[in-house]
Amino acid sequence: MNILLSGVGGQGILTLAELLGDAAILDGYEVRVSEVHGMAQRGGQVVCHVRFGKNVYSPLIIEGASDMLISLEVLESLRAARYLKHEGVVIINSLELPPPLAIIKGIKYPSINDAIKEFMKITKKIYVINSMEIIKRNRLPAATINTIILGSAWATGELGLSRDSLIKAMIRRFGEKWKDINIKAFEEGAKYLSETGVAKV
Amino acid sequence: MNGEEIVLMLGNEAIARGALEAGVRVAAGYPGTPSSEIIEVLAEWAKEHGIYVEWSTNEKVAVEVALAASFCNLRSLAAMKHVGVNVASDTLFTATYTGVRGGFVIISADDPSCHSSQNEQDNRLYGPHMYIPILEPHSPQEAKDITMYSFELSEKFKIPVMVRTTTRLSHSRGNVRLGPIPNIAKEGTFERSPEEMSCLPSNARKMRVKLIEKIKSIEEYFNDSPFNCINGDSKVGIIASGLAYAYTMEALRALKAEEKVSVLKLSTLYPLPKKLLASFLEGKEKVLVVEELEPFIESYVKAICCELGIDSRVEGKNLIPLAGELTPLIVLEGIASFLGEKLVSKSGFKLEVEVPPRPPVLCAGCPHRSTFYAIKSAVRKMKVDAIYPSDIGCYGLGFYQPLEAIDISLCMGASIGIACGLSKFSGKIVIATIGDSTFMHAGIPALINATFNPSNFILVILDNGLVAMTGHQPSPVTGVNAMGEKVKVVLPEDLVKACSISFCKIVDPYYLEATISTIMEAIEHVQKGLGPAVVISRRKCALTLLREARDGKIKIAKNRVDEEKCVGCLACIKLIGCPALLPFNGKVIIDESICTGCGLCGHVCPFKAVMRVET
Ligand SMILES: Cc1ncc(C[n+]2csc(CCOP(=O)(O)OP(=O)(O)O)c2C)c(N)n1
Repeated sequence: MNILLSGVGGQGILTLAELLGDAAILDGYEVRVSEVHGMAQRGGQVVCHVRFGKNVYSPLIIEGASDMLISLEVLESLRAARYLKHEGVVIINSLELPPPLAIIKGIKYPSINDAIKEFMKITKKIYVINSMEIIKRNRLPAATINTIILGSAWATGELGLSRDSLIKAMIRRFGEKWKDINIKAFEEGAKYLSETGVAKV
Repeated sequence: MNGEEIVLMLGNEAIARGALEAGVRVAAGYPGTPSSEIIEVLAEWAKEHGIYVEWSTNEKVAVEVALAASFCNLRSLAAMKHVGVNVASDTLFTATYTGVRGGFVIISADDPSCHSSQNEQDNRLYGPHMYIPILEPHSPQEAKDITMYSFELSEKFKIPVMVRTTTRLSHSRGNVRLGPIPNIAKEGTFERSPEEMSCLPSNARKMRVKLIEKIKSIEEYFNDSPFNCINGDSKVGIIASGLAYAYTMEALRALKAEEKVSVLKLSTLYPLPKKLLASFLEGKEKVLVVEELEPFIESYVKAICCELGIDSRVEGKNLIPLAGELTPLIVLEGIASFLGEKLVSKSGFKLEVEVPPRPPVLCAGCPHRSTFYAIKSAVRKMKVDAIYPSDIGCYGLGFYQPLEAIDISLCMGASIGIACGLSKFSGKIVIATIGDSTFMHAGIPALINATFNPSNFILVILDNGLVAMTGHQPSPVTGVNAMGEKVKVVLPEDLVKACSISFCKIVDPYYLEATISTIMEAIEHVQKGLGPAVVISRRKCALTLLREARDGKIKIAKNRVDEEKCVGCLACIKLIGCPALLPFNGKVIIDESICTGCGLCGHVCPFKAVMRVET
């Protein structure tokens, strides 16, 4: 199983990647997670590769072979698009963070509809998650965005990890204190995806 | 974490864990991506396991501290990024002569593709140059195992041992089986043996002869190393090491060629095991060496073939690129063409929309942004022709639009030496910038030079209270050390004064007008030829400010846009590029979760549309 995570430095991609990795270990897989540390974390693009299975060597996913792409930001989903395989699953958090350089150079920021149109060329399984709306509606802390997205990813039925292990990994990382809030966020993320279904333009 | 548990571990953590399981007593390093987590993790474990850990002022000092511990019969480790080994190399070149007592392992974390570095040098080449044994793991589990093995090796042959890792291994996680941590509360002891530890010419000549012998014995030993292995028995072979091995295995699987190719995985890179290589090469029609960066193994393999009359065709850098990090796709393409297989490209996916770049940027409220802005404003006001040598740190991001405040940047500390030269030969006003940690690391000798060989330039020391770029490690200005102990601070201004520099002023870059006028004074001082002028721009890293405000330790102001006044001209974003400024509904809003109230946006707004709000 290959999962590519993308977003902007500071959004918590690394934590999401670790959660997936921990859950995969709990499910008994061999795991590789490739992270980005250092300079790129300063507001630059960040991608993490998560791979698990029976016999995994490389920490990197080969272009065109990712089973799932999870992007925490609209533009970054497009930058990572080349990794997605045909009929792979793509989950986009509908947050838009235009890079200052795009404004300075006068390059247009692509809209969520642009993104959906692009992905429709290779897959039907496109899910757009409005995590801000979920947070507001359920009065969840802003920091639960990643848990919401994780819930959505799980609800596609194609994540390849058990709900139990995901929840266990989450509790281990965020602590008992945040257990209920995170489970709630996970569930809301899952519910949102089931209710909204695949995105259309 | 004890016993036989399997956990998900970062490559760097696995190296630290290996050291701990091997009974390391002392660890020292200097921060540098991708190596920093090794010392950070050991520092976290220090108290519980009774080990001594330090962030040294630079890599040379780190190697010296760790080597001294080894001289005291303790197992020790030094960790640094690839270019850090350059700084430490003077010591290491002779440490192989003196040899060691307690096992001494140095970790070199290389950075192919320069993810966070100024170059992509291949430190395997230090092997034959320094006569230092080098091993390279391919997975986090092997990183732990090889680190442990290296301590044994170092003690067995009384020689420093280098473990080479790369960004992709250091920063990837994998399953790691934990082993027991030995309970050794060992104190150092020192027995004198001056002939063995003093590299005076009369001793050094003998030491070199001994060193050559050691390396020969290690080569023999490596022929049977459990970390080298051969899979399969075919007339077509691949030799690979490190992550290149991981990509090779994946490529052979993708090509369904596992049975058609035999693979030699090499982990002992210097000295390369000649007998093992010869036995692999014997009878092969053709062999491909898959390795990242230099043709290190390839050249040696070709030499062996020549020497032993083996007529296998050896390929390598003709199919695997010399520059940049390898990826699974690059290796797949290289191996496919080596095997004469055609690849059908799977991703014929072309985007129609333009995807604007998102390079890293200075954080919202970064004091470096304000300082650079002040420097540029002072230069504009005085209408001087200025050039800007800078250094290595977060402030390197000042190179990009819209600040464009860097003309030259090479390696740690170079800004000041370059400024000494430029001030004499360029005919321009020279304004150098350097961070606090970089100044302490390698800037001071050059600043002494500026007095010793009178030079007229401006130096702005960007003092944000720590090493920000590499993840907020303490620097000598911080007041705490790696193990969290409170220590005296070393103040840049005291060092500047001790260099007999008369112009030394301290500013807070959040007070923009005062900062601009101080830099103007410094320019005047230099114009008059009165010697170097130093301005210390002191303000805590914006991320520290946010953290302290969140913890309730300090109060910070925020900036907010007055919707009535904002006309959406985007001048703020275009002039300062702060990531807290976001275009929204034809105007600009400020993301208050990351704003630190530096006020720079208010300063540049032509419509005075930015307000300051106290929190
Ligand atoms: C020889 C060497 N060691 C380490 C590094 C890694 N490194 C890059 S920037 C930096 C220090 C930055 O600290 P400082 O100068 O205080 O600037 P800041 O990032 O805090 O703004 C380090 C250690 C390097 N590039 N070269």
